[in-house]
Amino acid sequence: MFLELVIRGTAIGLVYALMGIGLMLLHGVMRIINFAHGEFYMIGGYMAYYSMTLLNLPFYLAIPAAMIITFFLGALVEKLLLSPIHTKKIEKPMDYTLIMTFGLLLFFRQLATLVFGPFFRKPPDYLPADFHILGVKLSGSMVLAGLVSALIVFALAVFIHRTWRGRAWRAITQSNPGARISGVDIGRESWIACGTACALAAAAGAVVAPIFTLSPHVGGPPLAKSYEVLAIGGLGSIAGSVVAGVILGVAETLGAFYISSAYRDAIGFVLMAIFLLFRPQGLFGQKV
Amino acid sequence: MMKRHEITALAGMLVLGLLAPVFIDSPVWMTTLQIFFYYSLLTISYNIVFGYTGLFSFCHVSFGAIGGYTSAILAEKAGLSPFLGLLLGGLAAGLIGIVLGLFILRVRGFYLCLVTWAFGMVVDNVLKTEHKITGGTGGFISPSFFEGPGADLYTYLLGLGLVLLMFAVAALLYHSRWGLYLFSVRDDIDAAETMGVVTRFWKVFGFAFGSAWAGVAGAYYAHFFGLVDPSIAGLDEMGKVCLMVVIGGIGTIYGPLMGAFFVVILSEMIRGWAAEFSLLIFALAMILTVRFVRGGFMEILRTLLPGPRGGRPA
Repeated sequence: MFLELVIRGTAIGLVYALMGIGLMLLHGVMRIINFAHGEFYMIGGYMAYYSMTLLNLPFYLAIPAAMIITFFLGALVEKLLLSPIHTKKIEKPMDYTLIMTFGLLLFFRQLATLVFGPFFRKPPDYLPADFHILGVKLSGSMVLAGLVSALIVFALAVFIHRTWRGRAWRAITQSNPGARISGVDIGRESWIACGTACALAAAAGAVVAPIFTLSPHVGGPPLAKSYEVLAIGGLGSIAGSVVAGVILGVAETLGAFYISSAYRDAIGFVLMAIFLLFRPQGLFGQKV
Repeated sequence: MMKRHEITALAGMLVLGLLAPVFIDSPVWMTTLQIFFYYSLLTISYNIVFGYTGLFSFCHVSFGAIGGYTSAILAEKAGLSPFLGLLLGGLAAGLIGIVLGLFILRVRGFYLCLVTWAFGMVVDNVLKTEHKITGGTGGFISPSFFEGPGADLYTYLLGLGLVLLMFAVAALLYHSRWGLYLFSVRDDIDAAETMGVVTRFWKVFGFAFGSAWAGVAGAYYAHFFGLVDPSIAGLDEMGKVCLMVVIGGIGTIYGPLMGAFFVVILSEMIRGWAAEFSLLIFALAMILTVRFVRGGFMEILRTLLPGPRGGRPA
């Protein structure tokens, strides 16, 4: 039983890491905090659902389709709503962007209720077979969620460390004026990074849609998880986020089984609060 | 000291509030006005936390729930008077606010937001899970303030009195030296520290004072509505309170009151034909406000009306 819980927690933890890394990218490049991150997760799930049921796409096309649609949605939000606030010289741009993304959270949630309906929906299982790992039976969707998340995180790490665009993002993260002087077009990189972050959230939403089912209010817990990943792993380290995601996933599954399943969500919050108060740089982050 | 226009506004609200029950005879609108009182208590106190002190707290409604549950449980199980509950609910919220405030001293900026959010979610989780004490998701039925004929009217007057008191306290704080300390913490904490302001104290004070009033609001809600349930501590409620303050004008005296009035009355008016749209419309209003007029109603008023109004710009 213990082994099964650990493996299950690891698979879910990788999905959490995917969410957290998107948020980290956004914080690094744009210096903003996105409270609507969970809503992009929800939208990604719905897009995967509709491209599978309406367009009859197979799952390996539905997940990229959801990511691409959400990429453009995120880029649009950045262009229209976020960049005018946080680049202009106003007092407390951080607070206003927070309020703005909070408004977006409410807005997308209500819009989804209107457009997609308030019911629960479930896309068909991506892999309708069971796997046996170390003598533990796991559903195909669960294995797929873990594997796809790990793959996307790995691809993103390669992208950030090997390409020019990734180098530019790292430069902006280290010093915004420095990157500007070296010829990085901050405005363009901002919307691309924002779109990418939203696409990562959408990927997370799409891969777990058959496991957790979809509803317009499904974005709340993943939003919390992605902040918990950030708080535990620290800002600025992809490896740290992956470790934090896995720790969180395993801690939650074990806690839900051994302590109380009703307090499942509280476990992560308590972990986050402890880390923020006593080790604000996280497990692997640099001292802020 | 309060400014003259504030005293005028206070007197005007008193007269309007006393006249309203004479002209309004539908119980629906009386209830709506009492809901407006609840929200304006929350928004004015949130304005003290966020607008005056600059602490972006995400657990303000949780303090409301703490106050409400404290008062309701004490009144039901220990037989205390609901009026004492108003005080005790406020005290409970204020004490927890002090403890949480001492912890959040260490963090700044958006980390503060995350810690308070985490606290709010834990409160929500506890309220839903400990159903032996709190009644779980179904809620907790609490006794009302008054019994017998005219109970509604008396409850209405009590709410009116609380809101006017809250307004007067917030206005007095705004013009006092204490208010200046809070503003200095908001605007430049390092400069304030250099000038000898004990910023650690004022941060906790602003947070706990606002939270205590939220507890009073929650206690009022519990006894006039007759039921407290965990939904009053949810993220949607926090969004509502936040958007009322933003639409009205952050850090102004009249803003929160106007925002609460606008949102509560308008959502009651459109309930008939657009109930499912109301939160969508208000979220859109919030987005547009932040995008185009960050000062909210008060900024629009200040540009339209000649002469200095509303005191210092937020």
